[in-house]
Amino acid sequence: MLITETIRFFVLHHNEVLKATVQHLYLVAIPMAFCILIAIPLTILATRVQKLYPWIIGFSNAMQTIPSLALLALLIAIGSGIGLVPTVVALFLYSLMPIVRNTFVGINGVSPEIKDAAMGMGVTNWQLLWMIELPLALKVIIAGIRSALVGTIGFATLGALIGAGGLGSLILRGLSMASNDIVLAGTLPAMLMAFLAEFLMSRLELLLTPRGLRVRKG
Amino acid sequence: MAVNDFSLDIQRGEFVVLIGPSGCGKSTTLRMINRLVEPSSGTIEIDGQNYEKYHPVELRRRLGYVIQQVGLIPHLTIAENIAFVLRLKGVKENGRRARARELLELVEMNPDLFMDRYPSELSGGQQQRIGVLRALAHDPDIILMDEPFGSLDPITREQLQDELKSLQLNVQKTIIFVTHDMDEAIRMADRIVIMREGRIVQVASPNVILRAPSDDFVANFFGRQRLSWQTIKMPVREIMDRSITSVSQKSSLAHSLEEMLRRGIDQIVISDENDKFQGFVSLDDLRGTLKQDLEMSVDSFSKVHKETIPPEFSVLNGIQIMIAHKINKIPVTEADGTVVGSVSLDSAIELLTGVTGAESAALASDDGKNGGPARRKAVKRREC
Repeated sequence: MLITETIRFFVLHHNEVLKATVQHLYLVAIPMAFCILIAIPLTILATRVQKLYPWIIGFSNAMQTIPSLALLALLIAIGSGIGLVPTVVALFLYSLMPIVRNTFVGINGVSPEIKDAAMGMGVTNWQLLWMIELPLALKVIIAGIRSALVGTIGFATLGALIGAGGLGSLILRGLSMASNDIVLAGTLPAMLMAFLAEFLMSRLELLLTPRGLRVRKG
Repeated sequence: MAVNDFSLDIQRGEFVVLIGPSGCGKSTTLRMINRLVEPSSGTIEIDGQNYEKYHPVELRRRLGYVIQQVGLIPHLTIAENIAFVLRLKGVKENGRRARARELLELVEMNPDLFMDRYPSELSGGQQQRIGVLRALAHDPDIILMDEPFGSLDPITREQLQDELKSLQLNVQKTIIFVTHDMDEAIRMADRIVIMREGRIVQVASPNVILRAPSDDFVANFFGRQRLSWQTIKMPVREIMDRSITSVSQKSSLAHSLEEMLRRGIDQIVISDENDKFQGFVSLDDLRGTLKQDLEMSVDSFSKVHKETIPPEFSVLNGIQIMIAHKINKIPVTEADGTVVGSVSLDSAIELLTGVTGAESAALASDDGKNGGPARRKAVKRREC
């Protein structure tokens, strides 16, 4: 039985599974952190200097269209070597698009009359961003991060192909040894992680939606 | 060029309305005052100071600004919205809430009920009230309003117009108000500035503009619709039919009937020996009368109508009374009973056929407004 086999593997090799899972978390967390720290401010800048936007969205769109495996190969080809660094770079490039797009749409989507009224009351550019645009766009931005995150968790399993470790390495080993229990031992935690991320982010989205936007007209 | 060759002096405490067809530059003019639009040449002075001395942000915090779409900040409560400029100016939370409370009370909105609600929970009219309060919160001397009541239904619009007017009388703000609604301009303005293609066509008080429009454009702009609006508030004296046919109260019904048929009228006034009004009978009522009854005198007839209106009543009152009593025509009499003419429902309505849908609705709300003075008085008592 595959199930019992898999459980047996989990029990016997729990250290190994745990290590792979933690590695996997790093593989996801590092590029996501960079993405949030770099892509969001850059996109906010693009909402002020609209000429920038076609470049930013164009680049992130292009990265997203490259097949993930090809992206990894491409990075090796241009001399990034193998291991953690090219994987993190690839994941970073891959998760740009949803974050860039949602940040831009979220901020640009704040209705012009709200901004007009706020400007007319004398907000500075920073206050407009902090007090009006970001709170109103937050929900959309979080949704972008959420879809990038779930995608990245899946994509990170490919990192094992170029020696970055993570849950992908279990899957690869299982495949090469033709033992499905090891494949599952890598797959199940990755799936669980994706579900959990999806769930937590949707809670966060709800939590960060300003109360005034949640209230329905009574 | 949106606005060209525009020169205007506005007095402190004045209510100035900018009006004109869309695209005439009225909103642009307003937005130049708070520097949301920068003029390519020319200047604006506030209290004798060139406004460019102030940073745009600082300038805007000295002015109040209300727009048609309200633009309340959806993630802030009503209290936070009202006191938003105070927050920008660094006023502490307590002070801000106190001010919001004070202002809500000013427009008779229960602070305990509304302070902590969100804009999406309010009706359109309530939202725009908050929009106006928000412009008052920091006690600016000058308030700019860009078609603030344009998207409200006629009833709410009139209510808010009244509230704003009485607010202004209380707080003595200079208000510069943009609209394309002529009635609104005439109701509200101390002075009306009529614009076309970025230029001023005429600047004058509402009365002068109505009586002496400077050219055909102005006359047309305040034209036909205006007339019907005027008509309905006009005293019936102005529109009544002055031909009077009366019979003595001692004459017979047959005589009255004969008179009516001979003159081709459907109603005849009954007067006493001093020619004072005693009532009237209508052709329809006489038609159903038996032949032998026609010999009795009119004052003993059971279907004598007593309805009459004084000449100073408005056409609207006349129409209301006629409809209420199901009569087509009503005699107009002075207080001493002298009959001076008559008004028929048909002729009154004919005069109003220029009335647009929106205006008819506004007319209908005119009645409701009579219930309003108590509230308006209450508003007046308070100080801002």
